[in-house]
Amino acid sequence: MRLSRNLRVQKILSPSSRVFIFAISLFIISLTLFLGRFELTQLAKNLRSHTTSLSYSISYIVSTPSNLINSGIQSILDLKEIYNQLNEYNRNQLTDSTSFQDIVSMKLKIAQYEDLLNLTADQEYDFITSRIIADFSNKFIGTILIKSDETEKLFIDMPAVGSKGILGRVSSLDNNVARVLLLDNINSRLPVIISEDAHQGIMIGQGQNDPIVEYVREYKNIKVGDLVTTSGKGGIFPPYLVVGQVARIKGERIEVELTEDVSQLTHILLLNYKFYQDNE
Amino acid sequence: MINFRKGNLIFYFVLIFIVSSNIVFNSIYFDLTLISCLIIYVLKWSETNWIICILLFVLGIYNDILVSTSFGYASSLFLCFYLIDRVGNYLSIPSNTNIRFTIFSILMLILFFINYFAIYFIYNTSILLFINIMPYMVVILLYYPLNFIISSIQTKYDRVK
Repeated sequence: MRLSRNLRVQKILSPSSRVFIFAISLFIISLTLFLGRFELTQLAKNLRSHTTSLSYSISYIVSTPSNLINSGIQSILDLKEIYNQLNEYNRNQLTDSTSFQDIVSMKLKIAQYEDLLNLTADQEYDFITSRIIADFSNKFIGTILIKSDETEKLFIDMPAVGSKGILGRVSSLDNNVARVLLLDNINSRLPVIISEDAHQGIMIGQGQNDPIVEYVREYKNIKVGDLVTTSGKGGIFPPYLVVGQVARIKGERIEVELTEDVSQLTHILLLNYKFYQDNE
Repeated sequence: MINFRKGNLIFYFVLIFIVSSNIVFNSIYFDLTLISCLIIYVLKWSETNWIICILLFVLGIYNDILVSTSFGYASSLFLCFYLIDRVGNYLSIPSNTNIRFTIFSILMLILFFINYFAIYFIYNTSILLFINIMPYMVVILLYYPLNFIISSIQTKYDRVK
């Protein structure tokens, strides 16, 4: 009896069993971190923000071969894109000159109306250009990593825009690298207005699907093709930044096609918009 | 068998390389975390090596920081696939490639549905089924070719040793 118990104890304490038990313990710790939503704690946020640039540096060195291949392919694609854009530019040159005149006259008219209505002028803000160093946009938790020479001027919740429209906001940053949470990320929420009638709603990211706008009261008045812009509510994003267009309406579900495609960009603009800090 | 001390470090570097390549490759068809899981599952691990468990745990955390997934997601996946391999070995289940492939495919499908329903119920969002199942299918399709490559490298290494 004692002999068999000793054998059992010996089996449990054998090196392979100990490694097996250790692996199970680590697995349980990992599961606890994941299911216990450890990432929501301040410790995890600090850990993530302080180690992002370190992990990026390691990744950059380790993935140098794939980086070289990728940049080669990207250069060829860029050349093709430049050629297409040049053709497009030549075609649009004439129409652009008339559009420019329209924009100037429209701006003058708006300035006159604002003056007549005695409206408070919108807050002015400048921007910082930043380079995209890693793109994780093809996931339902879409983010990008960016690097800037003026990283010290960046702050959390800084709006990020491209040439055509808004992209998202800075969600975490450390000394060298910042992470931008994209609009199609399932954690993204953005107050928007739809169409010239300014129907208010909240745009919610849907991963690889187009984002949807919820909490719209008069959704029946919205049509496919209506422009979606930021409302400025919440104070994170400035008002009237182009977000996209209404692509589909399925009952109360309004789907928005974003105007900006992050996969086509190499640089982004970070708007130095601090509504609350400037109004305190 | 892979042994950390004996110098066969190639697969450790391959794993680190694949996880690091997340900053370069951004494809809807290839999920590098799942490909790492496949490599971990296919490899023949040394039975008495503590470092493997720690390395997989740290690699998972590194992956989570890089890709911005929840802490513990990748490490629990890596350790889960490592443990399944170990359990089979511990219980002396014959290592038939077809049985292992079936177990891997079932696990991948379970993982996909857990992800799908978690997003559906927690975020109230129904992600596109076709696009999101693609990386899982690609990994299942890669099982045999990767298994062949890794097994031949390991057999060659054993013979040299």
